[in-house]
Amino acid sequence: MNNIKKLALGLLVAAFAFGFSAFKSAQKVDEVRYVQTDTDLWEKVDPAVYNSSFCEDDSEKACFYLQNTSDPTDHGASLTSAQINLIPSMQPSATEGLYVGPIN
Amino acid sequence: MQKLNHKNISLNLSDQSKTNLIWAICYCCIFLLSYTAYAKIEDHSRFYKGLLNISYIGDYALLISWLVPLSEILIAVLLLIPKMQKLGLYLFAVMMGVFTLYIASMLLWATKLPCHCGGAIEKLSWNQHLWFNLGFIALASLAIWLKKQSK
Repeated sequence: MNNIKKLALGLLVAAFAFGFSAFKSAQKVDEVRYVQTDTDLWEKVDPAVYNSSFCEDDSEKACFYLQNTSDPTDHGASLTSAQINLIPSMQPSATEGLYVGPIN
Repeated sequence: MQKLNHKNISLNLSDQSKTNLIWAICYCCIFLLSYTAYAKIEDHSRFYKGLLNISYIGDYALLISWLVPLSEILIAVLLLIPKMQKLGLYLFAVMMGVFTLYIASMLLWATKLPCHCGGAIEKLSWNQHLWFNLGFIALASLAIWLKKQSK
């Protein structure tokens, strides 16, 4: 195989990688997640900064609530325990604890 | 005890097979570099915000957030050019080595392990990521060794 063919194949590989990466990016759905930042207070977290390892096991309540994707409603930047429990599309996490990381 | 002479170690491969194997390894590296570079640039804010959370790196997050994907693209281009391939392989091995040292240090000392890698690779755990990187370093080292052998 001469160098031109190898170069062309290399470009094809790179193009395939870009395409595959773009395909994966398009599949991403921005999840709406509220994390427990204080006792009885859940705040919406930026999906770009959310990390499950910031859930610290010092609360008996869910570390976060995930809003079901079928619910397009914007429930605001923060919710109390009473409010979040009234929203049917909010699913509590199995992990308990306070979220100690950045939220935006 | 029989002494092992490293200079005599060689694969029973023809020069053509060695060249093809080197190119195959380079294609794997190009795929990895292009894939992760695109993912980092396409969702740059996520990568940047992720870097901000890392101690020691946070102050240089913006610089690093551009330097890493651009270096990945540059190395991918070097791997494509036959005359620059060896340099590309060395740079690839060094870059993967730095990432691997970073992962290893985080695994050893960090209390929190945030992952902000590109694309599907972010699905890997930190331990898997470490082995994944070591695998690519081994591949690049093999290609460098084969290049020296075929001279």
